[in-house]
Amino acid sequence: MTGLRLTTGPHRARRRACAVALLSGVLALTAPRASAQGHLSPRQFVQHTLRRFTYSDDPAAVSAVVNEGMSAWLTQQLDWQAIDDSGSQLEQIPLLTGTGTYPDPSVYERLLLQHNMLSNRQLQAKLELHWLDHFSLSLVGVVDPGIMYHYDQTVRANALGNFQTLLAAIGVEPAMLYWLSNNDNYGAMPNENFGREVMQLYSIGTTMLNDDGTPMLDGSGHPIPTYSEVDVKEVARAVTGYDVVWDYSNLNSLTRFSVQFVPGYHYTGKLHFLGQRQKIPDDFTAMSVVAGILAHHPNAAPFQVLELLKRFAIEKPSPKFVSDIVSVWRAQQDAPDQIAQVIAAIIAHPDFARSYHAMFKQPVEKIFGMLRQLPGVLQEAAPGDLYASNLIYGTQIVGQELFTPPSVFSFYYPGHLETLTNTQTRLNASWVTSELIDAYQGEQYHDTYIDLPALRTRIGATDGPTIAAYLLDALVDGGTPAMQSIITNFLGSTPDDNQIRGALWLITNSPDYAVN
Amino acid sequence: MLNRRHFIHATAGLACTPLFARALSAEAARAKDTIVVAIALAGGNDGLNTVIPLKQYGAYYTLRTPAQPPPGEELAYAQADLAPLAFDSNYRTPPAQATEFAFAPSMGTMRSLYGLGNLAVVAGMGLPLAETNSLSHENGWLDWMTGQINVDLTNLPHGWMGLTLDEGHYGLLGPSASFYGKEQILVGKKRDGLTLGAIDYYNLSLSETDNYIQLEEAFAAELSASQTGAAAFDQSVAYAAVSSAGAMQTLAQAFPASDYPAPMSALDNTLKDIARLILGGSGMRGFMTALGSFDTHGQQNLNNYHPILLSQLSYAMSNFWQYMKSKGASRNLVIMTFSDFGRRPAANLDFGTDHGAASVGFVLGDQVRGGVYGKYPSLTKFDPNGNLAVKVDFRNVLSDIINAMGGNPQTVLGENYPKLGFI
Repeated sequence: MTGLRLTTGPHRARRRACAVALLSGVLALTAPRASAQGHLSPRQFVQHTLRRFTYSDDPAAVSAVVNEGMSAWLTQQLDWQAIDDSGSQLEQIPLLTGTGTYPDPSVYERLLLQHNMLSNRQLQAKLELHWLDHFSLSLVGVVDPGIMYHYDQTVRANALGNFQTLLAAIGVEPAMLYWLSNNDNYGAMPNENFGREVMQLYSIGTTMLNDDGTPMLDGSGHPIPTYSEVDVKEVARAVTGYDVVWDYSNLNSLTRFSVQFVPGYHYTGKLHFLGQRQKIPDDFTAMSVVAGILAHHPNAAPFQVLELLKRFAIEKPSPKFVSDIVSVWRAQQDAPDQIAQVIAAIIAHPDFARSYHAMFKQPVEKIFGMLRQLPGVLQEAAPGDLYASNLIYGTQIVGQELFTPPSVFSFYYPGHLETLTNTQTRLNASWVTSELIDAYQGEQYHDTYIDLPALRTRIGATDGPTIAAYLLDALVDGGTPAMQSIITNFLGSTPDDNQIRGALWLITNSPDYAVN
Repeated sequence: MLNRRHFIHATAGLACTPLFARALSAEAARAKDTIVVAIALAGGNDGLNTVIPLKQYGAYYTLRTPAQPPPGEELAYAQADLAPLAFDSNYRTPPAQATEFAFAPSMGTMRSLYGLGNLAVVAGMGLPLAETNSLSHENGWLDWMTGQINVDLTNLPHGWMGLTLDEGHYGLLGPSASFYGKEQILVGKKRDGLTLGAIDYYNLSLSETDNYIQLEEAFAAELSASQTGAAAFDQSVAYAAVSSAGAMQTLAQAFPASDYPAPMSALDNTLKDIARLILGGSGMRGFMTALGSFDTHGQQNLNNYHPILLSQLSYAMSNFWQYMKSKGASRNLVIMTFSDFGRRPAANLDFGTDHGAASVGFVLGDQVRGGVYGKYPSLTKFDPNGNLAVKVDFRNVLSDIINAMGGNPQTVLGENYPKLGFI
């Protein structure tokens, strides 16, 4: 098994140093009215950044980041290996049963959901979500759910690393080999699935872009394709040879499969793609070489940066925003923490602050947001209840059950988050919020709930206006005047638990809460 | 502003009475406007293994047999298996005498429909070569949704169905619905379609304090306030969802369609829901759903994967149309299929097929003139990319459909694309 590909050891110190050095623009955020913060108050900027680049946090944690400064927080998050993450996994990774039956896939989903909610490595977790969307594998298309978990661990380990390294690692993950049929890709008559999608979706896109993200046009004003159908066939041939091997006597979820290179499956003829003769080795490193070619293609930078900006910043980024970040991407092309440095540059850019409340939240951002902004509790599964989760079902009916994207475009096209907000998911969201707010500790099939006594303790007051202010600050940055009026009037002078639950429901089903 | 409480009070006692039901059905029956149900075969359907050109059988067999296949993965159908499903352009020709084409062996129901004279088979249908990314799922899908090519992904055009249905008067549920998530096909200039899962589950769950009334009233009050951008959009969707939930629940209870044929697939269940919406007098005229995935890059026929999908399609279309006929409500109903693109003519060594160009489509309905339209591509002379050449631009197909719906195809599509004449 190739094992998880990590950036470890000496790179940590270098990464920390780079983060500090490159964050000179972000360092300025600690000073009042710094340009990156723009028109936002320090607290708004922190809430905005945490919403975009983490699954949010409660008001006390927000205050802590405000006090220590954004640069300190970012430095800590970028040095993710130094952050204790032991509390983010409540259950053991399941093994095969004695009869060799695969565990229920929902067991692995639980591990991912737990991590999203409980991890202190929040920036990494959010970038993990981005790359899971970007590469868009589904449990539906793979044989063994354990290999989805292994794939996720590889994504997580490389989420803030180097894009070429990430692309090469993903290419030889068993889950990817199954998902895009590269496990059954042979010789001169290749299965083109991976060869096409690795270019179209994963690396360089379909049409050439200028460094500012605008389409490059030919003399007739038409878009210029990045690759031809011949390129698809040739790339498909270049990545032939990989085979997933199973050890059925090994019950361990992470080691019962491995990937080997079978020279007899590999195409050894001359290869010419993307405009030049390509020398592809006839060994396991073939995928890595192809990943390098694609990562260094001139279109990779604008294509990847555009997608990052559309997911994290603004769905129609300005050409200057794009070109500024593309410059960072290119400058750090071979840096082990290339992605981390790009993220830091995005946060430091004035357009990031200007994108305040300009996007929709993804459904998981709504769910995990409310759980982290309030005292949400995620319990270890009860014995015999391992496969039941109101959290999994909740993500399913709002259209974002992780590990099961509906198409190769994941849950939505980048730039079209609005497609996740439709009449069906909007109604289902009302059920999910009811579930989380009304559930209680020990309720069957409910692994997740809002701890109302703990919330009251945090608020530290019993009068309606104070409670309203706390809830609105926690969930919607204080809320619009209309929202403040609705909630304050709803709670009255001394709200009981039901009224507080009602207010939580109103806020989390409001347009104020829907925006990011 | 209509809220659920008002709606329930207004319709309580009426919802399940025979008088109400007959009134709604009569209204639906009186509607002169064509209702279209568009079924997407998601992922790119292999037209060559859906309708096999018998006169090119030798080339077909060679293309689909790149090597000796493992048992159960044979991609080329045997001639003996195709014979009972043979058909000619003249739908009246019985299978024993037909020599031109054959449906895949799992499509017996579709063959029966064809013999009735109300099924059009559109051969060689697809995206033109002028579409720069015709073999991309994203581009192919959006082209079919919008009736445009080279779609700007940052500024999507409106959907052809949405534009067609923009003009007209509709009930509380609006003109259209998608059962496949939010899709561009329903997006018009003036209005949008509903996104539905199963209609029995389209309802608002109440919190203990019955907050949805307050939610709806609060947001309705805010509707004229200064919400902009994402917040305004979310608010409008929430309002549409809450406003329609009550009507949908009432309709769903009134029309359970318990006499619908036993569903054999998820598509069957969706078409049953569509039947309920139509018969229930919703006034909706456009529906979209999907079946798939048809993206069969490898082991296409292993465990009868592709044949089963085609079987599900055939049964579901037949069940739906026959049921609506039995209710006297098929006269203005048209069911169409489409797909992102076709598959390559030659199989790969994984006995699958990769993205290709031309495919086949089906149009079924009382108004449809049965037969074969377009032209089946050659299996020896391909397009510049080595794919089956497209003989019918997809927009020609949409012209017939848009026209039948009362729309102006040239206005909706932006140019004149002559109709094929199957309606």
